[in-house]
Amino acid sequence: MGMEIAFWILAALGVGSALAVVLNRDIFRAALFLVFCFFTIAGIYITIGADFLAGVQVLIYVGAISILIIFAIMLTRQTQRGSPSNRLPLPALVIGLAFLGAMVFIVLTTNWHVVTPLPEAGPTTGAIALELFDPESGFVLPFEIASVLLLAAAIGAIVLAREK
Amino acid sequence: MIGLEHFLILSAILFSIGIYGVLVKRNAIAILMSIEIMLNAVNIAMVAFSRYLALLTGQVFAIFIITVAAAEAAVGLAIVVAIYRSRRTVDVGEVDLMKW
Amino acid sequence: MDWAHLGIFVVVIIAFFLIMAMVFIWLERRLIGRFQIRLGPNRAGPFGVLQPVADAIKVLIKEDIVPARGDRWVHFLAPIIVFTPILMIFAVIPFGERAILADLNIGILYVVAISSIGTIGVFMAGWGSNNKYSLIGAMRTVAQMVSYEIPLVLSTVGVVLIAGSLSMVSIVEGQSIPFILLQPLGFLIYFLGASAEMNRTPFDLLEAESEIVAGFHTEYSGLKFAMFYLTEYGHALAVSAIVTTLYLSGWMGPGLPAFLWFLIKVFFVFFLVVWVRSTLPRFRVDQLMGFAWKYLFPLALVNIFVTAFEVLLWPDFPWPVIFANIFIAGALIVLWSRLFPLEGGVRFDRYGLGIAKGLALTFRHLFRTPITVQYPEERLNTSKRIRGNELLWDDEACNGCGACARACPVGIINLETRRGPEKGLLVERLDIDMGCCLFCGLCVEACPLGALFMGRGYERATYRRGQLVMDKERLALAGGEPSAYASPQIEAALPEQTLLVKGEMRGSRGHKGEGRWGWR
Repeated sequence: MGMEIAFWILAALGVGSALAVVLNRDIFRAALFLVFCFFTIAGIYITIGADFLAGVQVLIYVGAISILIIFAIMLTRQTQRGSPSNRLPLPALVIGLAFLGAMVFIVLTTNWHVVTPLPEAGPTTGAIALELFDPESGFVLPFEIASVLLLAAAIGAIVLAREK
Repeated sequence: MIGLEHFLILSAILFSIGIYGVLVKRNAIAILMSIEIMLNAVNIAMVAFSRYLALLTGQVFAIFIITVAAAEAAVGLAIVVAIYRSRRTVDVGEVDLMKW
Repeated sequence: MDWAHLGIFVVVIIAFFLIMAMVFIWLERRLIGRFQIRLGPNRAGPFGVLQPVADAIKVLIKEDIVPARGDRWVHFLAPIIVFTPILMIFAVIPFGERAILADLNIGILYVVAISSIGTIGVFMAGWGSNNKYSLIGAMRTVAQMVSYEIPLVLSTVGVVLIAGSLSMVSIVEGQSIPFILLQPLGFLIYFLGASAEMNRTPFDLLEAESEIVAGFHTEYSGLKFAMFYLTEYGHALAVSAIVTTLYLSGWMGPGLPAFLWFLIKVFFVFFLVVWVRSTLPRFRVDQLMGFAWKYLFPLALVNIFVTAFEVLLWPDFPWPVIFANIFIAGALIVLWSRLFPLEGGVRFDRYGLGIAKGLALTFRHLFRTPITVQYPEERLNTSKRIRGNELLWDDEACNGCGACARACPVGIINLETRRGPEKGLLVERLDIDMGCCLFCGLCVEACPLGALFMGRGYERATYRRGQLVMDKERLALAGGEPSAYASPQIEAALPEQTLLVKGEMRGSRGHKGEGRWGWR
């Protein structure tokens, strides 16, 4: 019951702050709403029972990516002009609503083979580690590739953003 | 009772908001922010699937998505800063050097 | 644990947090005082323990100023966003066996994640203030926090590897040997990284008063400033508690109750923080970044490698490994310091022994007599040649010639005389407006009879300008000691002067007594 109330509150806050990100003209405030949106999504992970991911979400999104975004906002000094929308808000709205309608339709009409009864939501940290590094069916190679990707991204970002 | 559909619809709503933002915004950073919302929406769906289908693979995928999102944000924002440095604008409508 | 217990525990934790933050404020000010051979606050209550309370009352009744063109909401929310995460950290700190609000199985991850939120609040404070110093301070802070978070997180990985769990309780229970012995390098990196995260000297660039006023909280006053202040000490408390939990075996210890052990260790860590703060000078910005990325970061990576190998080879950590680890840590630090170029090259006597010497010096200061003079009760003997802010007049010697009034460059001496019975002049009125006096002493030099002196008193402050005008009676009654600066005959009668050293008077002839600088 508590989880249900939490879900509805978090979902409302998340959608509201996401809308604020898109609709706010002040880009700094939009970034702050984005941070809040990330935070509510971490809360939603907790209601799903993914505690490890919630921690990762806060650490990576709230702690790192938002900082990057705010830094980029500072470095590009476009705050006075704000972030106005272009001349096509109506078509964009139509496309967005069409996407939404299609996805909701698919979600509601598909049989998802949900496991019943649901297994008890326990700690996931160890289970994720075993899944990730399982020698038979694990993701060791993708994991290594991801780390190389991060390294490449870090070096690439430094090269790109560096003053000549 | 909160079911899988609730999470999926929440995910769909956030994803659509992200699409709207990507289409409508002119500031490149705002577009990147909208893309982050879309990635998060996908993550919610992944995690919800992993919970309700009792497959932990979904959460592993979510971790990879977060990793890639971090890389994307770093490189994307670096590109935006580089563009700003050479063209003094981050308006995607004005960055039209490659347009014919 | 049902809801009632949970609620009570939350209240207890918040109370503990607030009280400990107050204690830390008091302790830090006292300790810094002693490290600098001062006394520190000692007036409000016994040993000044009520000083934080007095500060809190002062700050709460101050006006809350919001910058005119700042972003009001961002400015308002910033202190809350900085403050809340610090409070939330305490949810996973084990205060004793089973005395923990929530033993999350992602304990350390939770701590790291939650404490990274504060950065946003700092940014908001800098942005919302609409002040260049605030923004520069905020940018510095964020750059610093992001840089130091990486070695900080990596250094905790060593602990997680040994304990085999992210849960704080499991980590404490896994420490039959405190992890500081198994992870000396990790402890050092964590300690330095955490000092940087909570913006302590030598990492306090973001509030470098001499450069950017007060950094991100320049524009804050009243309650909001109080929240930043509380956050600073709350953060120190949180870091002390986390270091205690991760490296000093938390609540575990022989004899004493668990909570007491926890408190002792927390205070010890905080003492270390204050000690380092009062010893080392501030980094330059490039040195700061270089230290994080070129020094702490690679060392943290090496630490993970070494720890992983040890966990694989000797899972139960025999005694020789402890010594090996301490040796490896020392060797790595010395080796890396050669790769870390500073101006003039790295010299071990400067950066190794030098820091140790500095720490030893400040530690010795703790045991010295403070040089503080408790002014109204104790005062230093003033020099005999001091020109105080009073004039002394000898009405016996004065013949009313008025030389003083003519000599005065600002014309504040008002002298009226009349003929006396024996043809001499009698002084009718003598008013001197000390409020305008330059204390130049020309009147004293002009006096042919030595009837006017500068006095040595310096405590003539009044609440009204009118009371600064000295009339005949008050000049005569002032009764102070005349200054010797213009009167060789007075000076000749006085003993030699000394300087104040260590609370003792040490004159050239070494005798104590009246008529010296120093303690009366």
